[in-house]
Parts: sequence; structure tokens; C-alpha cells
Amino acid sequence: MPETLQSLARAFPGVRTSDDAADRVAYARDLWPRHHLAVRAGNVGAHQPAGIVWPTSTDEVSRIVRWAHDTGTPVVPFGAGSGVCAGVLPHDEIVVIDLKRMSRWRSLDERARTLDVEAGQMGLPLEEDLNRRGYTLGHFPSSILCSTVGGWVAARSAGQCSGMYGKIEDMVLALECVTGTGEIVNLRHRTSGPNLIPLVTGSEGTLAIVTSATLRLHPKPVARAFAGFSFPTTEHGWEAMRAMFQAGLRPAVSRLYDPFDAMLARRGSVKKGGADSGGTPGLGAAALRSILRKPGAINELLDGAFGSKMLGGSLVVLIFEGEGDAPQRDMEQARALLETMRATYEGEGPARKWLLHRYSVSYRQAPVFAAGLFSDTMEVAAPWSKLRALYDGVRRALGEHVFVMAHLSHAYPDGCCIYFSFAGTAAKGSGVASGAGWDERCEITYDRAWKAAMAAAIEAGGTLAHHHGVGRSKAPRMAHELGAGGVDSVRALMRAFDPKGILNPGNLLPPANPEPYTDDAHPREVSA
Amino acid sequence: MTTTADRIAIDPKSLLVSTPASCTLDGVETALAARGFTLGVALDGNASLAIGDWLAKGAPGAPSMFSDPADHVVAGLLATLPNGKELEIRPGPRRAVGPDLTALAIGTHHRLATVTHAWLRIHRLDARRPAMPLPDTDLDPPVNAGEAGLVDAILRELMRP
Repeated sequence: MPETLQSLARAFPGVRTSDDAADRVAYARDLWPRHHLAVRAGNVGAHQPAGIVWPTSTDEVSRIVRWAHDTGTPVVPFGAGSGVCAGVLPHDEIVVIDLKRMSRWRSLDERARTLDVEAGQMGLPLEEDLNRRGYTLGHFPSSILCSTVGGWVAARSAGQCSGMYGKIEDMVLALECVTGTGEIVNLRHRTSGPNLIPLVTGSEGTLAIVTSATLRLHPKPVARAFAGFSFPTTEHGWEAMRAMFQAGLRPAVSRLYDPFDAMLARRGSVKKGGADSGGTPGLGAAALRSILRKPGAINELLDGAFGSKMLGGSLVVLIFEGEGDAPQRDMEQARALLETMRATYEGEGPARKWLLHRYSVSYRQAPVFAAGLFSDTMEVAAPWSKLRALYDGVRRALGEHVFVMAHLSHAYPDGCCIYFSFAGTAAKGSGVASGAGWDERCEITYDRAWKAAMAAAIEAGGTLAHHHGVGRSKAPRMAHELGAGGVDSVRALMRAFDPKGILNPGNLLPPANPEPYTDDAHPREVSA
Repeated sequence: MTTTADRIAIDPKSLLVSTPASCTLDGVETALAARGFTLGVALDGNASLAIGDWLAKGAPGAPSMFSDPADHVVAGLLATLPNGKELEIRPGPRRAVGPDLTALAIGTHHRLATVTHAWLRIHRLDARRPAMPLPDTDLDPPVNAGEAGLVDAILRELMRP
């Protein structure tokens, strides 16, 4: 047993700990797709923590953090590990604090419609239990099968119904958390005084460990209205979404697919490639491997007017929900508005089909990895007036390196999130060392695509992340996102909450003296 | 003489107004109304407040963030930190890039940051305004000792040059 964990186990004899090899491998990473390349290359053992501890109460978390503070031991809070940005990237001195044994409901206040729930509560059981009592949280991230309340808060998560219920930060009324000194603090939403909840929300385990959250609940919807609409282009579709949200309509679900993504949705490929599939690469992946040799040309062809027409245009899926006939009335109003904007009504089918397969994008590794390729997603956002520049800029930047498609699934009155999905293959040519292995060359393509896309997002006036967070994957670009004053402010917050810097060090902002941040498929440095 | 209408800029596509913090609430509202827009806040007792002071008080009169979770009042801001440095939060609908630093400026009574410029949400005068009920919830509880200690610590750290 490593000395760190021996010391911890001695200090807390009643608390479950492990330094088992299998556990340490299991907690060595989150679902950052770049890790999949490392695993495929055979490097499963990198980034193992010293050990894992499973507290069962806030008091235990407090005592563990106090011990870590006193001994200078870095710790990282862990929910269900569904992050995709390397927010969890331990090393052999880090102790992982897994909060999943803290999953109790502390109080359900039916009068105020609030729930105080511990951070380790998993997403789907929470929603199902609420439904049985006639409530919904309204938070449906596609990771709901493999994410926790604490993880949602830490990463500033968004769900599929954000158009009606907002993101997780719009649902939190109070937080209980443990700071880097081990102090237990209770933060309350406050209008006319300091409100510290927005500072901890999204801090990705660097300011405090969230141990419980008081969340706002809504009545479980009893009625829904469904519709799908096709549009000539993606831009026609997002102008329609803008018009709806600015007219005060709040569809629980509003998803716009670009022509290629829409073609997949119409054909049901989402279902085939998702959680219900066998997970083996099919003909689609094999074909993709072939066409990805020339991603620029394919992207240009499909993104143009010809490609849009050939693929059947873009597709908007709408679901309104609520009580009585309100959803149907809202849908009728939306339809009347959209049909003045070149929409073609496609019936209820696309929306009903989407709802049936809403969690098909799951924690299972995308089959394209098994085909020797890679895939990832990037979710950026901007005001409506900058959306065209953001869409074009990021699409062009990614398209130089990978095959790219997009959908828009989180709209607001003042702007929208664009969710790019991309797939790529091994790099070749200049900058690739002779003799480099396949996975190493995939990693080169991966890094090139991300670096170019992040620069393009900032250049267009967008934000680097809408709901996946920063982790270590975007940390090198945070100075561009936040500016010098923003970076200084975040560092000041880190010192205020965690004076010794023991909470998830290296996450969110790059360390003052950057080190090679990963040694995965091949050793290299990633810089801004 | 420069009027408020000259000092603000409207982004009609995004329904945002960019305004210096020194403009008053009623000045901005009047300038917006002339173009068919409104901030959509109750001005009672706050009309003469400068935008910066209004935000420092927590934007009184603005709808609760819980009444329409897809909407928000402040999309971005420029602020001066206690050490004199500038904080810029570019306008955006939502983001997940670490702590929401607008919380340093909104409702903190100029203690942790002072707003110098803001991007605020505006509404068409005839637009429907969604409002979800929030039953029996205290949105202004007293500051507890733990929070007060953290605010002091944040201020101390933000004052570092």
C-alpha cells in the first residue's frame, strides 16, 4: 500500500479505502476521448492515483480534507467519472475522494418544491424517484446514466430540457461543501447580497468539494406536444430557434441538426451507434475511415448548398411540456411562427423518435475507436449576432483535420450553444515523426483539431465550453477565454477557498510552470 | 451633449444592450423604449440608480433568475477588481469555463468588484415573458459565518497586486 494511503487508512479506520491495482486503474481517468487513444495504445496504467477513499458523510469528507490539508496531500473529488475534459487526471500522490456512497435525500420540501440531496446521488435514479412523487428536476444530461449531482454542479452541466428548465446553475438554491481547509460551509442563493454559489458551481473540484445541493423541483409534466420541421439550411433552422425563444416560447427540447446530422437522425443511426448497439464498428465506421483521409473536401462538399439539398436540409425537433393544453397551444404558436420562416412540418415522428432514444449517446466508448479512428465533441456558445461567425470559424478549423457535423440543442433568448461532433484518423505528412505509431498519429490529429477549434471559437467571440467544462484539455486556452483579470480572479478564488492548493491541482488553469500534461499514446507537451 | 441613447449600443439580433455602468436605469430604459425595447425590470425606487450601483445591489426589480431559467439579466460585464485590474466577462448566453465571475460584482455592493460596463438582456415591448412559479422560497437569507469568512478571504486575495 502506498505510504499516502496507509497514512489515510490509519487516520480513518472506519472509512473504506483502496489501493487495489484494479481500483487505481479504474480511477485513473474520466471519459476524455484522448484517453481512449492512450488505452488503445496499451497505456492503461498511466495516471493511477495513490488510492481511493469512499466517505459516507460530510463530516468524513471534512476530516479527510483536513488530513489532506495538514499533510499536503492533493485530492480530487470524483462522481461517476463521465467528464470528457480530463477534469480527473490523477498521479501517484493524489487521493481520489469518491462521493457515490453519499447519495441520500436529506429533505424533500414539498411546499417549497425543493430537494436537498447528497452529491453522490446518480442522475437517473434521482429523476425516477422524483417522478414517482410527482416531480421532475428537469435536468437530463445525456450522461444521466453515469453522472452524479455533485458532478453536474462541479462541471456546470446542461440537460436536454435546458430551454425550459435551464442549466444546473439555474436549479441550485443552496450548496453544502467542504473547502480546502476542511471547513464545512453552507452557501445560499442570495439576491441582494453575496451569492457564492455561482463561484463554486463550475469550479470543477478546485475550490471546494460539493457534498449536497438543494435543488429546485417542478411538477412532473402531464402533457407533451411533439413536432419536427425541416429547413433548407442550418442557418434557417437557428434563425427559427432564435425567433421562438425571443418570442417567449420555451420548448423543453429544441434541437437543430445540420444536414448530415439530420440525415443520420432521420435514418436512426443514433440508435444503431448508441447504448443499445453491440458496440462493434459497422459499415458506417469503415466508410468513415475511408473518407476521413480527405476531411477538408468532404466537409466542404456537405456543408455547402448542394450538400444541404442532397442530404435533405436541416431538422429541428421540438417538444413542449407542461400541464393541460398549454404544450399543444405553444406548439401551435411555434408552428405558425416557423412556417413563416421556410419550415416544412415533418409531423411528430422525429421528436417522438428522439425522445425514445434520448440517452443513446452514453458512457460506452464510440465504436469508431474500435475501428482505429477517434471521435469527440466540442460545445461552444455565443450571442446570436456572433453565431454565424462561430459556426463557420469552428467548423472550418475542425474541418481541416477531421470530419465534422453539428447540432444546436441549447438555445436562449440571447444566444445558443453549437455542439460539434467530429471524427478523425491518423495524421501524416509534415510534423509527424517517421516511425510514429498509428495511435500516436491519431493523437497528433486530435490535438491539431482541438487547438485550431479553440482558437477559432475565441476569435469568433464565443466561449470555449457551454456545459462540458474545462478540465485539463482546455486549461491551456483559459487565458484567452478569461483574460488576465479573469485568470487572476480564479487564482485568487483558489487561494481563498484552498490556501494550500490541494484540491484537484492542475485542473481548470494550467500550473504556473507547465509540465507535460500527459504521457499517453506518446509523450509531448500541449501549449496554448 | 451626449445622451444615454448615444452611450448605449443595442444588439437587436441577440437582444442585448451594451451600456456604461454610469448610465442610469431610467436613462437606459427611456433610450430603449424609443427603439421598442425594455429591460423588463420594475423601476420602482431604483430608476435613478446607475447601472453599476443597481448591479452592485443585486439588480433589484429584475425578475428572479428562477422565473425564466432559460433567461438571465446580465450577459457580460467589465469590472474593476480591488487591486485595480480589469475583469472582462464577454457577453454570452451561458458558459462552463470555471467559476461564474459575474458573482464577484452582482450583489456584492462594490466590495469584490465594481462594474464599469455591462451587457444586459433586453426584451421587445410586446414580447411574452415566461414566468414559472417559485413557491415559498427565501431568496435573500442572511449571510452566515462561513460565507462571511469566504467573502473576507476572497477580498483579501483579490487585493493582492
